Amino acid sequence: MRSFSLFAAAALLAAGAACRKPAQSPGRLGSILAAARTRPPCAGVIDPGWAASIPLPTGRSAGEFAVFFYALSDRQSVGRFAAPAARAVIDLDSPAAESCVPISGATGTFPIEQRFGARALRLGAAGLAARRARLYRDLPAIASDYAGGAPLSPAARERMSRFIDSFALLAEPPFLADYGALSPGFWRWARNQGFSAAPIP
Amino acid sequence: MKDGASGAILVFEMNPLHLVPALCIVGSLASAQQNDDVWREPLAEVQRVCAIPSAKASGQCDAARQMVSRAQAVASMARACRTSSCTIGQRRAVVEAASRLGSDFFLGYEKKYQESLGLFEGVDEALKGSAALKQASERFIWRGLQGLDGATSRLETRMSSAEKGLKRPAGARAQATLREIDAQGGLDLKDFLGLSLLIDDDNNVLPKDPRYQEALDEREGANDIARRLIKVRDRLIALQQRLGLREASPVSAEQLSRAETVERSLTSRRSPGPRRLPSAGPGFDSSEAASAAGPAGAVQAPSQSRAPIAAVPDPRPTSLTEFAPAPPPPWSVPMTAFSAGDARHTEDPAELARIEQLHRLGLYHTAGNPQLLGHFVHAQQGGDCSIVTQEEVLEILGRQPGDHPLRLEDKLLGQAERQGFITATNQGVMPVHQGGLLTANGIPVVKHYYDPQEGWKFLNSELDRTLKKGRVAIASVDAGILWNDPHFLGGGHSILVTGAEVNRLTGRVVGYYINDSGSQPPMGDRLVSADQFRRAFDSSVGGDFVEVVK
Repeated sequence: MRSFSLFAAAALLAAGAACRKPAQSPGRLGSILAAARTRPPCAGVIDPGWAASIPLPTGRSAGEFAVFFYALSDRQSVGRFAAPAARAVIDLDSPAAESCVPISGATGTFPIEQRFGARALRLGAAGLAARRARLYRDLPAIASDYAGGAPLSPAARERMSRFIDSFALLAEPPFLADYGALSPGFWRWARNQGFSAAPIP
Repeated sequence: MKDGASGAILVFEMNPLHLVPALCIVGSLASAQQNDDVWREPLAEVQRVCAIPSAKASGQCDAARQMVSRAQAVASMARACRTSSCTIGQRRAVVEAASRLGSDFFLGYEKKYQESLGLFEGVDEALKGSAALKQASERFIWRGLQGLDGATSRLETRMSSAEKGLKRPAGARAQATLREIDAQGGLDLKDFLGLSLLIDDDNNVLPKDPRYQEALDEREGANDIARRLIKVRDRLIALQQRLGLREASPVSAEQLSRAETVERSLTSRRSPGPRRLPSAGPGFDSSEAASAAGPAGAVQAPSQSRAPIAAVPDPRPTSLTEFAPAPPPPWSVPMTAFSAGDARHTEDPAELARIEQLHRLGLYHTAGNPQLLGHFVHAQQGGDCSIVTQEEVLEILGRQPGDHPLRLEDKLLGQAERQGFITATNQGVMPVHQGGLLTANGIPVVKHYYDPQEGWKFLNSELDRTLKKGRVAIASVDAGILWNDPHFLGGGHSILVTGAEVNRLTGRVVGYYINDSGSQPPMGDRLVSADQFRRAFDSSVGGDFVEVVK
């Protein structure tokens, strides 16, 4: 019996080691977003429970991104989210946002089912989080390409294709116009490079 | 506009909100030769601009006057602290007032400021005095930290002498010595609690302040003092037990009384609580509020629905050992042997089954007492997960006896508002003030923030170390990953981490036990695999935790 227990324990330990998935780092951009939320100026403006949009390059420098925040219920029984209510500019070189201001006139809430499309929901939470992490890892290089202004290399074009696909998956359908307004120059640049900037209207 | 008169006539016809930039032009044309000294008298300048009828009609004059008056009052308080020595509590009051004023101005009036430079420039001038106050407060904090460092060192030295010199049987003199150490430690702990809140306020500085790294250093300094004070407390308790002045076991009458208090609290959870109207604020409960309100959709404003706050005694400790952790209660609580939580929330049920098997085989063990603490979980009523996690900690430590959880949640929400912990959107506790309610109620905490220079691995190891000591932690996580629900991906949520499942051979944490007030259903003693938990914690909405130093 004892040797059976030891054998079972060893098998279970081995199974765990084989199946263990490494925790996915949110990358530099995700980490800066995490830090910026807890520090002023964002700390007094946005609620810790709010969700962040996909950050978009501003084009002013390779590390600068614009992002908006919106309320998302932190009770699973209340499935709603609200219109964007704050906008921030973050930089990869600083753990604090460069600016973080409320968006006035933001009204309206939406049922949680409208937050992502059917294709996104089929991935499940873990799959969606993985796609978001990959998008965060790609964004700094895309920002660098945008700010640099040079023609895109084949690798850069592939990265940009990936971004457009991930964006289409992860962008909240009610907020497409807000994404368009967040960094209009970026979408113009994307179209000029030959990438359809759909789903941005 | 060639002269003031024709300019004034023109602006009468404009939208009042656009009036004042035009008035600025008029005003500056009219006062081209004005003495710059008037800007040092911002109230006088506001009065001057508001003498113009159209400025008065803009409806902003009263607000500008109030802002300037508040700024001058804060500047006056700061001057008083600079010229004479202030206590930590008084300094905190000054910094808090300055923070509130700055926050109110920039959040409430920034847009108007941009549109009405002349009117609010007086406010900005007055606020520059507040900025100087904020700089002065840096020196307060560092002096406070240095003072506490010295006081803690002296306490540690006295403790060492007592440990060497005192023997059984402990006479009256020895007992008096230990009482003095306890009392002095209580005073130092009180000072620490005040300084900790001051640091949080200072960490929440006005925009464009470049002191972020300094703020982290201040917090680390405070964390160090918290750890040292608690260590002295534990040494004092151990010495008291050695000298026969404190019972190690069996449970003393005082400890039994506290356990009974906790049991009453658990019993009261099972009874229906007071009906509470959801907040009618800008959150998501407005639809619930409308249906709950009754006839004519009348909904009470949050302040009216809250029970009046009765005067409460100062919750801060009077001695160092007053908040010593209680032993496990002597009564038996029905416990769930092993909880996998709601299956929908688990990404990998096979992993949890594996952990359970290895626990039963003795290769994993549980750190902490999550099965007992799971009974303290309480469903949050609003978007106040941070309030509820702190409420659970206060109940676990027996600090809020007798109150029904709903009433206590209400009371703590009121306290958080009064203390300035709530964000301007009135929907949650600011990250820097996580754990602030515990500090304000006399419980020292150590705060850990994600620092890009140190990375996630360091923060994770700090959390694991905390749990392996048997302590609990309030952690910020990604709700969507924690609940395995993509709809909530990226939503920030606070949970109470009550224990960990640890590999005996390697010391690695393989699972975390949590109380979750926001999940559906709310879950206590829920085991989350290390993979799922760390992905929720190491996320763009996670990255901080509060260690309860009990």
